[in-house]
Amino acid sequence: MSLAFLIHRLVQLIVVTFVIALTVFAVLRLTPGDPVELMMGRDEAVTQADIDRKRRALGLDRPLHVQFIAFVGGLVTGDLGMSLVQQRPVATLLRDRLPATIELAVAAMIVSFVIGIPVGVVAALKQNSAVDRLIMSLNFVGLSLPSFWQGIMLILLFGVVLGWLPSLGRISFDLVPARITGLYTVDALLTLDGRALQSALAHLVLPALTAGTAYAAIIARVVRSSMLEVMRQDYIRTAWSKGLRPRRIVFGHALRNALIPMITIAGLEAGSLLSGSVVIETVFSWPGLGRMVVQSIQGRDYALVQGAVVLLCVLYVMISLVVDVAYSIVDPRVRW
Amino acid sequence: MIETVPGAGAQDVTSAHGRRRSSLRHLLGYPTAVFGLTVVLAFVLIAAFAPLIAPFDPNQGSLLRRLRPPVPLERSLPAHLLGTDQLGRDVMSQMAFGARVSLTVGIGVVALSGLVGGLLGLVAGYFRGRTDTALSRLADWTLAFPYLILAILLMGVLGPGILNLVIVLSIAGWPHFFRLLRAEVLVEREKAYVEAAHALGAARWTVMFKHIARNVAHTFFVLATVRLGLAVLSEAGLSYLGFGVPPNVPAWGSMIAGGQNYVETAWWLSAAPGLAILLLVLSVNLLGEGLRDAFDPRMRL
Repeated sequence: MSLAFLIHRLVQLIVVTFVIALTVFAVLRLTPGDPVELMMGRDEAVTQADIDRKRRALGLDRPLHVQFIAFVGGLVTGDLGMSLVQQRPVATLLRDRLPATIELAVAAMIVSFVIGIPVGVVAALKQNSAVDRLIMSLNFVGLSLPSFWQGIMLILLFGVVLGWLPSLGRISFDLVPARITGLYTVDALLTLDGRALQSALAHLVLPALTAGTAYAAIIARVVRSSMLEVMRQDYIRTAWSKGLRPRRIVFGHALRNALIPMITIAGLEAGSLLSGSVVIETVFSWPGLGRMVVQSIQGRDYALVQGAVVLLCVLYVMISLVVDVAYSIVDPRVRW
Repeated sequence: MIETVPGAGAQDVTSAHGRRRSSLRHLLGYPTAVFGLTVVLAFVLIAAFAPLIAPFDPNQGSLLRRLRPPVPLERSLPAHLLGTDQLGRDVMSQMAFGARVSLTVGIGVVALSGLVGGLLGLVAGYFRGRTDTALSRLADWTLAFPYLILAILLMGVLGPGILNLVIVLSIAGWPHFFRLLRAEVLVEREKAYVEAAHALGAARWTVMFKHIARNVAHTFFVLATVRLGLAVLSEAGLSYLGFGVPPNVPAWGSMIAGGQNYVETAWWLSAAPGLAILLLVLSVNLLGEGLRDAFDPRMRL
């Protein structure tokens, strides 16, 4: 991997971020309805002077290009303005919400890999058997499931009928987690708080399972086909003829190479989980970024929408950069 | 714009036509694909004849009959096969009308994004140069946005509505058609038959639309089924979040959202529409898999 490639991708990242910021800004300004009037309500006591004063205080009376330059300048310095509804700095709100989204995304990725990889390997080793056919059929179902519905059905089964798992929020209401990283499970471990850890983990199970299912299906599919391809390679035949044990061949030789495409999948998954957890966070009342985007759009809280959407998009773009770089490190044949 | 050159395309037309027919017959050899096709057609019929199938007005409820379970269960009413919701509206009638929303949006999105993305991909791949660079950059920028976030943002601005759903999901989805068609055309344009058509004096637009387009059509249709399933899921997700259809339009996604509040007592309210989404999307995917195998067994998306 050359330095030129890295620089090229970083420049690209900056350009794309600028385009995203411009698009989000333009889209929000095209929205019918004035945010300040919406915020102050249709109260008789509110005069035009009040509205004008508020607008001036928020900087909304300035020409659009000045507002945009201020917005981009804010992005660079980390000052994203004030939330119109919550009257708190957008940057603080985002910082409070980000760990919840990351924690769910990481848990969902673990779920999808733990399910997807072994299932894919088994399907490949037993190609065209009944087991393989069953796995591939379930696979199709996994890919066709509406995730929010799956979440509600899991709540129905494990929360309502069986009563095994909590279905809403990140932790029990009576527990106040220590705030170090914002990831409740990690914080509970750091403070050796067993009760908090148990509660945080229990709250994670259903959302992570819901978010991880579709990707488990995709991973199983990719692992299966890439295992099938790798098992036909010459070096695998060499390994067999050397008389190595099957387990060694499968895990030591084949799987290692069959897992290379997983980097792309993991990147795609991380990107879509960080940004696409909107629906699942809503199902489980998970206090993450996705839910905040929904609420802020509904509440026409422009500064917050702007900040949250740009943050999610930048995360998404950055992950695809990391994937490209990781790929060229793991597979030296890939060169730019 | 499209010029027809007599004779130049005739050979190709018949052969492409013949291949398509044999592909269709071939498709019927796949039981899963036949199953998929049958279920999709059944949903299309339900959607088309929803007013005849639905026993009740989907928006008209009777509070005396609220929250009744589906038929064989205790307290159920024979008139309401799938039960009633919190306002006493008939679930089956809402489901029938919900099929309209899902299919209209799904097919609308595939048609619009497929047409726009496909045409632009054809043009970019065939002419290359500056047009290609500009269009590819636009596609990259669109794909830099997370799909659902872009859709929510635009729906929040445009407001709920079926037409808006089609437009928004097409804006977010056209680059997929663009990229695939562009890549396919880049390969096709170097082939001998294209050279031959040019040598025979066929106009560039004729070569592009009559010769190349026919040879990349099968790839297009396979992608179209994949995107159809995704469009149905996206519409359901947006309607679930409240960014999809207006409140008075029954859609499967918004039915699930309404039913979630009653999941402890009236599970059928969220279970039934979800099963319908699953069945429709599953059938579309099975059909797509069958199409892929029928057109070209080596093709992988």
